[in-house]
Amino acid sequence: MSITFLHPYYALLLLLLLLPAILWLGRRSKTSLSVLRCLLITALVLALMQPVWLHSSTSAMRVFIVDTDSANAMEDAGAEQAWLNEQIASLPQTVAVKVIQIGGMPLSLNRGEIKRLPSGVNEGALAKVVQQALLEIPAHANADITLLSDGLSTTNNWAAALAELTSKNVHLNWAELPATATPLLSKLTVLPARIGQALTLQVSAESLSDASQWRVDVVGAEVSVSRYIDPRRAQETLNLGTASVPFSPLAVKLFEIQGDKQIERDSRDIIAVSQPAITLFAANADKTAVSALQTLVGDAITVTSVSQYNSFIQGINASEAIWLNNASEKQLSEFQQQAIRAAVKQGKGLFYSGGEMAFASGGMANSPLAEALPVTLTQTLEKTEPSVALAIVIDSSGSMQGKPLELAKQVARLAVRKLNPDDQVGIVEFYGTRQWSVPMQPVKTPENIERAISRMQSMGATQLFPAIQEAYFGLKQIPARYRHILVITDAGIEEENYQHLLRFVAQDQINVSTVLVGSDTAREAQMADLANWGRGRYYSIADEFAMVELNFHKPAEQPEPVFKQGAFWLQGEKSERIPPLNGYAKINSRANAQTLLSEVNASDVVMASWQYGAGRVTALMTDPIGNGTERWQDWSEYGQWLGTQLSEVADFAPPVVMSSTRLSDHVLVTLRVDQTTDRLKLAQLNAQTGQWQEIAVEQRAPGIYTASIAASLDEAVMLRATVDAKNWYAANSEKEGWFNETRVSLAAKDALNRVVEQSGGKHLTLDTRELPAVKADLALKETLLYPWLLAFALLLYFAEIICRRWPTASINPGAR
Amino acid sequence: MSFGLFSGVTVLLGALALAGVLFGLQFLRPRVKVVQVATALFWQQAQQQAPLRTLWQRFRYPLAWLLSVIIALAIWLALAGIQSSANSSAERHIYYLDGSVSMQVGKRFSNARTRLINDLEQNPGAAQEVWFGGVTPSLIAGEDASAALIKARLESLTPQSTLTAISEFARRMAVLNQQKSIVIAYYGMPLRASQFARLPQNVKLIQRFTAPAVASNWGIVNFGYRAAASGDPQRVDVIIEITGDTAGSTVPELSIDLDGTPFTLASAERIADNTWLLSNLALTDSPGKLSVRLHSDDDFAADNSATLTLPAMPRITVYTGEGVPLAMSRLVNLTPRLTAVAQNAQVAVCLAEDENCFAQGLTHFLFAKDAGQEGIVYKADSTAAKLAISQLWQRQGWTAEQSLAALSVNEGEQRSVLFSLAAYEALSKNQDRRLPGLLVHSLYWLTPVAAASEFAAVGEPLPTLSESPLPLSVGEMIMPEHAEISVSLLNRTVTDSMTQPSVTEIPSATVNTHQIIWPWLILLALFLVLAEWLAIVRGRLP
Repeated sequence: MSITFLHPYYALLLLLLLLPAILWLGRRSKTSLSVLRCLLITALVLALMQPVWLHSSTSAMRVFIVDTDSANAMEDAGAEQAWLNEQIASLPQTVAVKVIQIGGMPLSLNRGEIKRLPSGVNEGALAKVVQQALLEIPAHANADITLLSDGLSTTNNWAAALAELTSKNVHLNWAELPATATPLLSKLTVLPARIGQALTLQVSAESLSDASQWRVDVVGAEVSVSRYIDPRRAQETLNLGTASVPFSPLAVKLFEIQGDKQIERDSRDIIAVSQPAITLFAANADKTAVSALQTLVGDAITVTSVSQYNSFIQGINASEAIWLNNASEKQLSEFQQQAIRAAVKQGKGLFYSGGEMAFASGGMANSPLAEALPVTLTQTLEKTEPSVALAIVIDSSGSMQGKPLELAKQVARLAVRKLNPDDQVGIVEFYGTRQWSVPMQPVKTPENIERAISRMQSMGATQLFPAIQEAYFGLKQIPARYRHILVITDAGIEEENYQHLLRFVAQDQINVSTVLVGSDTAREAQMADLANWGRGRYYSIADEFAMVELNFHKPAEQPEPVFKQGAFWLQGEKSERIPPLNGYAKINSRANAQTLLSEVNASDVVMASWQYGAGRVTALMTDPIGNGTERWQDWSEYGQWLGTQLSEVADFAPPVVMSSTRLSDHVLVTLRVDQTTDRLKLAQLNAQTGQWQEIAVEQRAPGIYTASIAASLDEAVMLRATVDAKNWYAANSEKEGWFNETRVSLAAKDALNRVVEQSGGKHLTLDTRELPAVKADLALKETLLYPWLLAFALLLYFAEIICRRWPTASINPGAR
Repeated sequence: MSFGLFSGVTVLLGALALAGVLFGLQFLRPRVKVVQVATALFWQQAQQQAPLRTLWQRFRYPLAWLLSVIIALAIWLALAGIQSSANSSAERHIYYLDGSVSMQVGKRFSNARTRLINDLEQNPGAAQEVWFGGVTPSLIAGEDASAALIKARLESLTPQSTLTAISEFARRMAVLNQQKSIVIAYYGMPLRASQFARLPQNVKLIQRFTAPAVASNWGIVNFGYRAAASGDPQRVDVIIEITGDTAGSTVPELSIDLDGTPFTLASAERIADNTWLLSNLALTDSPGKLSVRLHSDDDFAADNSATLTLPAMPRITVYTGEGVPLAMSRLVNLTPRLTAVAQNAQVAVCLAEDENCFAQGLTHFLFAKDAGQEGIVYKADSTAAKLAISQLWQRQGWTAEQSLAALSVNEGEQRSVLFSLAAYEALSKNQDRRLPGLLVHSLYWLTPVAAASEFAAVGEPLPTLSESPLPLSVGEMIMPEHAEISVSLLNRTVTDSMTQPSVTEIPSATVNTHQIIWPWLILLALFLVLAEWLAIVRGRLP
């Protein structure tokens, strides 16, 4: 407690000038008059110094916020005013009262200062009104705020208001006014989707009357959907068609249908965001296959090939899934397979499809990729005997008469017996001319062929050259795996350019072997040369004891064929209706894999999937663009179905997760990436110019970035985050997180209730007669003393006049 | 013209009353009768014969009356607090003393306060409000407060570790005074042009005092943590970023301590200029305070330190139902983070057929006897959960081809794990060493660590706690669940602005609203009282 003078220098005037003057001038006057006059002067000078008495005093304040903007304002205004006046009247005079009224008819109060704000102030955010009410509370006063409202704030963001209430130690009480439930759109959620996929909107509504019908209309540039809502469930999921652009502004309206009338009850504008189409890297497909798949799946997936990238690894890194179709060991190097496997382990998806090549003959069974597949690639080998076409050229010239011809026939018979019914054989005999004693034919009736051989007789001259030519022309068109010409002669042949002929024949994959019958060994070298030129073998059969069995078959081992052809009906995990398949590879799935499609009759697995590391691998045992799925090309939903399968293996986790909070004048964006990266960029779309403007981001924690974007409530914010050269989109619709004025969800009351509780206030009703007391606190106050001094001076002046003029009996010595 | 203390009617009536009283007092003038005596020796006779003074006589001295009326009126009007009318009731004038963190440098705040007080004293008649921009803008003194009171209240203020709220204050005042124009005389830190640009239309901001820029400043601008990239749920990664003058001055040293125990930065990885990453910091059973200090000798110390509250590793309560493999119960007992409880657990581990299981825990780990069930099925309630489990398996090397149980990840409303009993028994029989880790990590995944705030900066919402209050100042903040979070400045704008001068010019004076007149009237009264006295003692006035 202290007294302070605002202008202390006036004391000089008192001390140095006036008082001495008064005393000296009044030395002959009555002492009382001088004293009174001095006191008067002193009082005036002290008042001039403006003394202020600073002292501590209890100070309390109560601020009322009257939200007459609520729907019930007109009906309850009288009750509110009466309650308010009653509460104010019950407060002691030491408690200051201030009232803030929002909208409505002006209240009439018995006491207190009232401030009126227009209807709809702060966009209906009660938190902001509370913050403004806090400004009414001086720093030195202990106060609380009582809010008369239905509690339906257009936003539930109370963070700043709660912080200020706590900081100032102000309790927020809430006297709840009745609220009328109004039908409204309480929640609109666009499910995550990519370009090319279906856009789905979940609509939740509130307070829908059973007595009416309710309809939701969604309208956008490429969308126009209407759906009736069941008022009891008040929730619908709407398919808005296929997304084709990242941002799709939509207008959602809620209509109440009453007979012929439809009344719009609420409307909201939102932005549906679609992420870029999945990038599928066709690691081993040519342009034709890529184009065919792209046409099939449409915009939902972007199919890329190796040629579009600088390297194979770049193609893997730039995509979310990899497609291998009819892969073989020869197509993909070990390095490439290792890279694919490592990428899948890290989270990329792999779609492995194909037929025989992919699952059997391609040699992938022992490849690095095999262990990543949900199926067991076949390693069963089978021995095969490729087909043979044999043209036997028998010398039936005169020199062969007797034993040589018999030996020749025997050789021919033995050779024929070694053939399979699917093989082909023909016999050309030459005896000055040539003729087909047995034309090229399957060995279905070997006995007939042997009979034909037996009928041969020796005659004429030896002309082998044209016979070989004849045999060659006969064999040339035969599609056998191995083709042979077997020349049986005694080597008495004409001089011709056999070397040229036989080399020519050998180039056509037709081998020529020779058999020298008889005992004339002088021609061995010649016959051996013939065999050598024809890339065949030379045999010498002098007599029946040197007979050899000539077997032209070359047994081979190859993976057992797995591809089944036919018409196969399938059953899926999701019971979808799928047309029959023309063929598939019969393969066993691994024990841990999930069967997505199986053949109905044999229960063979047609499509299997499993998790491999962080990624997903799906194997389809047919070629999605090949003969096996020929019937599916007419299936109208094939592209969508295939796109869905490919999408499901794709890396589902976006590398960046964006969230945003809208405050009244800016949007706070938070981005979370999987790891610390300096390659994150954020940009905002300028709706007017269509240009992207880069926004600075701040890294607040490992992989957590924030950005603040100035935007009014009515301005939508569209964002693009770029990570590793890939774009991801997000949007904050206008008024996102805010309700329309007078269309506020009843759930908003819960948020207010929590704030009241956290601030230490009470939740009341108009039936509450007594508000929680405000504890008065000591605060520094002032009392101006100059008015008292001036009043005292006035009294002194009157006293001096009276004293000077009061009649007495004494004679004034100066008077006559 | 207006009066501070009384209404105009009261003043008029009082003036008339004073004039009337003084008029009446004029009749109190004593009358002196002349008595002639023969000699002065007969003075006693004269005295006895002299009549008494009468109380009334006719009004004779109008000038004396006028003088006294003037004196009385001067005093009366001064008492009434006469003043000239306010220039306009459509204007509101505010003095705003910025008490934000930027004013903590040197004598910025005291100099600003001194300038404010001087301005107030130079405009004694001004109807002025004085506001203090601390954690929340507060009214220090209203229009009728005297300079003494304002000065006394201002003396007790100190700058606070909060951001300047002048823009928000201007916006709120604009809303509260939509029919008025507001002039704010601002005493504080240098303002940027963008802050002026965002002012409401009816607000005019005049920077009356600009704190000088500091020569150089280094500060900590980012300090936050996140779950370790290694995937270990018991560890976190922390990032520290500083900024400052890059030309000429060397980067100051950093020191870090955890709960008072210093540790070296040698293991920190420098990931960018002035940015460090501390990897795999171990969490403990109780929340930890990680503090970083920048050893810089610049004048602005508020950004030279920051504290981060690391979360505690919560204990997970586990209920094990009947029929659950005994090894599982033993595992729960042996794992420090897991606590076995009889009911109301966070995770209930049961057989899938156990109907009582679902009431015992928030999430469930079920052993399935169904032969169709192969391996482990994780039901994830979010994309993040799906990713977490896939990445866990990948990091742990539990890929399907290694003959561990098959992994399936599906979507569900709630997290749960379904483990084939056959697969479990097969692994157990083979004494597969990966099995305990698989079970424990699955339990961890079912109860993700509740995210505390990865960073807490003044003026920014806490990233993961959406319903928490906005941190307004540096220090410890009590959360609704009574947990404490350390809030640090971490504001690049503030740190950078310390070395930047203001962009505005300072106008010469604020606008005065009205003149007080009553002191002049007192002076007039003094002069007239003195003159009257002179006249009285010389007999010129009765």
